[in-house]
Amino acid sequence: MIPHGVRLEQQKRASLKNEIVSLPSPEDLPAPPKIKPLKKGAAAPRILSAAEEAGIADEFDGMMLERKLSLFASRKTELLVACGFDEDPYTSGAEAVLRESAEDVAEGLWLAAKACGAKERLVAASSRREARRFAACCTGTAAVAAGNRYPARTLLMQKLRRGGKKAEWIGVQACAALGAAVRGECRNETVVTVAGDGVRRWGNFRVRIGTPVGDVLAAGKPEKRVCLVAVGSSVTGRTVTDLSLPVTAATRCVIALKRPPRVPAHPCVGCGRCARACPAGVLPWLVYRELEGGSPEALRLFHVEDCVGCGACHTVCPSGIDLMAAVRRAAGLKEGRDLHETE
Amino acid sequence: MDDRRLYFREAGTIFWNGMLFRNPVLAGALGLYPVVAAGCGMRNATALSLLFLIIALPTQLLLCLAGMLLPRWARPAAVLLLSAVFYLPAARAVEWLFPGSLADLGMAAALMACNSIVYARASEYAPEHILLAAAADAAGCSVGFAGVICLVSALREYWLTGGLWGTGVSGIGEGLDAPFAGFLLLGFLAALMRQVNIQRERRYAEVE
Amino acid sequence: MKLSNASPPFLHTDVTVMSMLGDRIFALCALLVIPTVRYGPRPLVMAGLSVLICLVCELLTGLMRKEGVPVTEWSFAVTGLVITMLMPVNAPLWLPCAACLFAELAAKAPFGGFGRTPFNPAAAGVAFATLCWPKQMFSYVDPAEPQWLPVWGECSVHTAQSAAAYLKSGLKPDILPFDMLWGDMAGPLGTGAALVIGACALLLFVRRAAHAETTLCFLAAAAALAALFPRIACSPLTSVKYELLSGSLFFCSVFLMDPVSSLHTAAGRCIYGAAAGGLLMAFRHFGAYEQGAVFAVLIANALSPLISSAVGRARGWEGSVYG
Repeated sequence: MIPHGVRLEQQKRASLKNEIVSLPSPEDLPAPPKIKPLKKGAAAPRILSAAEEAGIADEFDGMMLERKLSLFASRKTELLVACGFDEDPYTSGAEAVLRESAEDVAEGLWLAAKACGAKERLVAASSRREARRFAACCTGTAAVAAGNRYPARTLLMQKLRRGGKKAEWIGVQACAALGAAVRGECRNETVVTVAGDGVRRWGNFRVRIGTPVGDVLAAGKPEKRVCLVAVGSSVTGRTVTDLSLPVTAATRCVIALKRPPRVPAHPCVGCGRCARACPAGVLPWLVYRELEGGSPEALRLFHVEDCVGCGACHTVCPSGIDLMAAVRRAAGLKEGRDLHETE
Repeated sequence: MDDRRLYFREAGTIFWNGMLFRNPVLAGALGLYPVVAAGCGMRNATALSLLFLIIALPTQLLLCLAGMLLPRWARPAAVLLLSAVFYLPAARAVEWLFPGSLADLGMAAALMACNSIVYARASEYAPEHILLAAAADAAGCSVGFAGVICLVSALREYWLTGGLWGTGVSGIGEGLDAPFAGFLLLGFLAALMRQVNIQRERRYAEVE
Repeated sequence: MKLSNASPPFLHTDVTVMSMLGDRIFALCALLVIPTVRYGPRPLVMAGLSVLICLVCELLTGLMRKEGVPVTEWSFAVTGLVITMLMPVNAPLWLPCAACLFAELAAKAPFGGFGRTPFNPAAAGVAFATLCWPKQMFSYVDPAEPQWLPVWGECSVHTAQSAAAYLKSGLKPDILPFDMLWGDMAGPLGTGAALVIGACALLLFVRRAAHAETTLCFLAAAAALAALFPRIACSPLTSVKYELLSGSLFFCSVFLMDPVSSLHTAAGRCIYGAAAGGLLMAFRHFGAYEQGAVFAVLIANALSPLISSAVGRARGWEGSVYG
C-alpha cells in the first residue's frame, strides 16, 4: 500500500526543551468563574454541565467540550482518543501538556469517556517513546504512537476506523481542563507554542484565553525583522497583522517568520507527490488539470468532497501550486452541480 | 452602380480571406497531404498549385451554378466527379509546362482529384453563394494554397539542396523531405496566421 | 515590526522544481567527467555551448511572450546537457547548437515552455539532428587511440563503429559486455559509462527526481525483447547484455523519461516505460539508424495521453460520480 501523508521536518525540539512557562494574565481579563467540585462518581450529565460551566473548549477545533461530548454520545462513539501530539511541525503544546500533566490528562479522558458513553479510551502520542512514557505513568490508559507523516491525526483516525471502531478525537488540554473542572478548578487557559526564525526563545507558554497575541509573541523575544506572524498552524493557519487579537482555545501556536517561504510557481511537473501525500484519496493533480482545462468535468473531480483541508498537497508540491485551493474550488463546483441536478 | 461596386468589394474581401486570413491550409487545416508529402521543391509546388487552380475553379463555378438544384447528399459525389474530370486537362497542362513533373509527384498529383479544400469549398460554400463570390473564393483559395506550398517547399528545398528550382548543389542538411518537417513548418505558419488574425480582431474591436 | 499577510502554508518541503532539476544537472555533470579526462576540455565546451544556446532561446521566447526574463528554473540546462551527452565527442560544435535550437524553439517554446511540453525537448532536438545530419551523428572517435581533441574547430580523428552499429549489421561487437560498463567504446559522449549512469539513476530515484518504475519497465521490456529476438547469434543473456549496454538505451531510460512528458500514475508510467522500451527495440530491428532511442521516446510521448486515458478508465476516473 502506498503510504499517504508527507514527512515534514519537525521543528519541536527547541520548544520542548523547557517546561511550559505560565505567562501572567492581563489585568483587563475577568477572573475565571468559580465552579463547584463534583462528587466522586458523578454521572455523565453532571460531567457535561461541569464542562459547560467551566467554558472548556477543545483546543484543536475550538468547539465547546460539552457540545462535543454530547455529539459523541449521540453518535454512540466507542473509542475516545486523546490527541497528545501536534501534527503541525512547529507546534508542540499537546506534547508538552501530555509530558507535564499525564495523570490529569488520563483522569480527564476517563471523565470525558464516561460523559459520552465511550467504552474505550486511548491516548495518541507523537512517538513510541512518548507513548511508552505516558503508559509508564498512567497504567490504566493505553497509548499509541501517531506516526511521523503529516497529517498524522487524519491518518491515525483512518487507521483506527479501519479497525472497525467508532473513534473520535478530544484534545489533551480539554481533558486536563475537564479533570480540573470536576475538582472545582476553572482553568481558562491554553498552551500556545511560540516558534519560528523570528523569535529568539522558542517555547510553550500557558496563557489565559483572551490574552493578546502580541503578549504571547513578546514572551518569545521576537526580532525586529519579523514580517509574518501566523497562528493556528504552519500549514493551514492564518497570518495576523493586528497583534491585539485575543488568543482563543484553538490558537495553538504563534509562528514568527523573518520572511515567508516563497516557492516560485511553475506548471505541474507530474511528480505525483500530491497524490501520495493526500490522506483522503483525492488526486490533486487531476483536479488541478481539470480546472485548468477550463471546462471541468464533475465526474473527474472525484473524492474532492472528502478533502480534509490538511494542505499536505500544497506543502509537498515542488511547483508551488495551491492545490488545496484547487480542490476546494472543485468541491464547491461539484456541490453546485449536485444541487443543480436535484432541482 | 453602387451595388456592383459593393459586390466587387465583397468579392475582394472573399478573395483576401481565401488567400490569407482564412487560408484553407493554415486556418482550416485542409489540403495538408500535398504540402507535407510533396512540397519539397519549388517545381513540385508550382505544379501542384497549377493542378489545384485548374481543378478548383471550374468545379466550384459549376457547383455554384447548380446551386440548390443539386441536393445536399449528391454534392460530395458531384464534386469528386467534376474534380476527376477537370484533373485530366489539369494534368495535361502541368505536364506540358513542367515535363516529368507528374511522375515526380507520383500519388500526390492523382490525389489532387480528391483534394479536401476543393471538396469543402465546392460542396459547402459554392452552392450557397453567387457566382462572383464562388469565383473569388476559388481564386483566393488557389492563391492561398499556392502561397503556402511554395513557401514551405522553398524552405525545404533550400535546406536540402542549397538552392531553388533545382539550382542547389549542397544543402545545409538532410531529412527535411520527411513529412515531419512539413508539419512543423505548417504549424509555425499557422501560428503566425493566427497571431495576425488576433491582431486584426483586436483592431476591429478598438474601432468599434 | 512591519507585519504582512500571506496565505498558507508557511513552510514547504525541501523538494522544489529547482532541486529536482538541480539533481538532474548534477547527475549529468557527473557523466562529463570521464569524457573530459579522456578527450580534454572539448566535452565541457560542447556542454557549455549547448546550455548557453538553450538559455538564450529561453530568454528570447520569454521576452516574446512578454514574461520579462523568466529564468526561474534550470530546465534549459538539463536540455542542453542531455543533448550534449547524446552527441559524439568529435561532432562539430554547431551540431549540438542546432539540436538545442530545435529543442527550444520547436519542441518547448511553442507548447508553453517548461512543464507544458508533451514531447521531451532534448529527444526532439537529437531526433532532428539525427534526421538532418546522420553522418555527423554516428561518426565516433576511435577509443583505441586516446587523444585530447581540439577544443574548437574540426576534429579529424580516426573513427570507429559503435557497438550499436555492429549489432545493426548483425555482427557481434568487438568488445566484451563487461568492458562496456566503463564506457571505453565508440559511442555518444555520455551514454557509454553504464556504471556511472546506474549510479546517477540511483541518486535520482532516491531523491525522487526520476521515477524508478519507468526506467525499470523500460529496461525490462528492452531486455525481454533482446532475449526473445536477438540480433546476433548468441545466447539470450549475451544478447541482453549487449543490447542494454550499447547505444544510448540505458542513458535514455534514465534521463529521457522525465516526469513532465511522462505520466502521473505509477501504472501509467510502467506502461509508458515498457512501451518506450519495446519501441526502441523495434527501431533497433527495423529502423534506418543504429540508434533509435530518441524516436522511441518521442513516439512514447505521443502515446502518453492514450495510456493516461486508458489508466483513468481502468481506475474508474472517467465517468464515476461517486469515486
